[in-house]
Amino acid sequence: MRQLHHVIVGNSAAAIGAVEAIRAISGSDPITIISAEPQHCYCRPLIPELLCGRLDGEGTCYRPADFYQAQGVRALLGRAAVAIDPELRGVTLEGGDFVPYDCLLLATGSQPIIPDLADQGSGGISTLNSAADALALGRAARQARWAVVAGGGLVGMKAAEALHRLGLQVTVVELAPRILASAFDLGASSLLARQAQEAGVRIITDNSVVAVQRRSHVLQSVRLADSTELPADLLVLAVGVRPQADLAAAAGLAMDRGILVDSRMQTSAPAVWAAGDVAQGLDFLSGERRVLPLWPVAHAQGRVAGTAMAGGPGAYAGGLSMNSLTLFGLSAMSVGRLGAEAGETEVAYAEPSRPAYRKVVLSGERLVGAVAVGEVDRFGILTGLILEQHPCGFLRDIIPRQSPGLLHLPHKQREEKLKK
Amino acid sequence: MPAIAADEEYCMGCRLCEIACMAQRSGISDLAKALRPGRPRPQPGTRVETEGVRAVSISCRHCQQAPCLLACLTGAMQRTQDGRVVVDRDRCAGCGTCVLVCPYGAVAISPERKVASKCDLCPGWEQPACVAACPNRALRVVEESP
Repeated sequence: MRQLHHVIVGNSAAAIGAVEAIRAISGSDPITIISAEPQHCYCRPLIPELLCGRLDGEGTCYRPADFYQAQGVRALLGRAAVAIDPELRGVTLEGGDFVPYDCLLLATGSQPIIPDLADQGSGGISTLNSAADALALGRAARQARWAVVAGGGLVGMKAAEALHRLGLQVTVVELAPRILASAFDLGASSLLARQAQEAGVRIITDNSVVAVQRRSHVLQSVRLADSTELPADLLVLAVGVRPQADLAAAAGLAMDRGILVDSRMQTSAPAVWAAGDVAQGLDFLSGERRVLPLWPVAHAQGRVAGTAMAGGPGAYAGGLSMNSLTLFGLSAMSVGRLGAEAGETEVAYAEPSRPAYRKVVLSGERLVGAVAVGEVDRFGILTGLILEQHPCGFLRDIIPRQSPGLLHLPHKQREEKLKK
Repeated sequence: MPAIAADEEYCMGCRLCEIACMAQRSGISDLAKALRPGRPRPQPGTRVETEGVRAVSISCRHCQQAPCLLACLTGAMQRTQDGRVVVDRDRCAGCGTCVLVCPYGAVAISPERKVASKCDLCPGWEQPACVAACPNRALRVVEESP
């Protein structure tokens, strides 16, 4: 059989998933990874740990140092792709080099949204989307006292925690009425907010950073929408991300919010696939196509794409929104829907005496979402129940009493799981 | 790949499996010494769930398509040459993603080390400590993991 040259633009979860899937089918097809970032593949969700120095570059590595060599991958790191040509089947790199492909995977991830602050200066303002961002922010933080984090999502709150660890006075400014609104429900996000506040982080909601003040180019303070002034040596922009899909858009690929892909992660162009944060693929619960910028989803999509590129079988079952967060020692998890939509019901229970909370969302008898704070030990059982789509009405009685375990499942279902 | 299967009909909820696992992990063969009060106890890789009179001991099934392994943020969750799913504790960041996806609830974050902790099938032993310790044969080794 003719060998296929697989070219992957990107070097994160989706790219690595694709490499591993291709290699499971073909040991000899040449694979090239192109990435603007110079680092070995690293775990992006852990960069707040890099910021505060709890992990170093080695500690955030996603795969062993010999990964590319062991997998037979030519890694063009620190080389930016500037254009793709689906007609000629090649990728143009910065500097003009042209890399031809038989199969192309776009796994270019997401980029931070930068709010317009009408700021002419530089310095003191940073995003937290890459290892380089994290290291630079960490260096700047060691000479700073006041930090403002714009955005109270997962990235913003982890940034706040990391900066707090470095001894800074941290204020989080969130546009929505509560922090972590896209990852957790109100019950969970209130407990997490309280945990952060008790640790010393100030949280301001229903507000946003609209301008910055500098004195001889040095950041002095930020101004909020309601005209509040907050002192700031550092401003971290964490208001959200969007697919980094410029290459695909310029090449005319079908796009919505991200690059539209089918159940095998193929784009509208022949021999071009997309996976990870840049792709808009199937959502397990809604059956619609949705951008789900989550690490495990990216890895799973990358595997589906890699399998398809190497000629293997299998389709994507759809991604499920899921989050695991530990904030100032308090753990929280969520999966699927965060609250009941029309025709659905939810059952929630909060411990009165300590930060422990659990909730499930049911659509008829089917489990479609779950949230837990404090006791998260066997949370994956709920994730499994969503994916398996067995009747889950029994959860209505369990949730008010305790965290669900396998013994609460109907007998037959449990036997299936445990006896084999 | 072998895995441990649990028969709840035979489980008495005595928790000897948990104790045997903790002792095994402590590296001390004398059970009384291993579990002496005051000595830190390792997180057991199996956990007995109880509900009324029913009980069952649940540990990692070493799934063939292991969700924990696929979802792991750091690559700490790995498959060994002989097919077991194990945690490289030096590479684990304790993010909990494995806990979030394990349909058996068989991975925990160890309270003292803040890293993922689970059954490793007791490599190098004739049979896993929990299976050997079970007085009622509620745990057994099966040849094919799910």
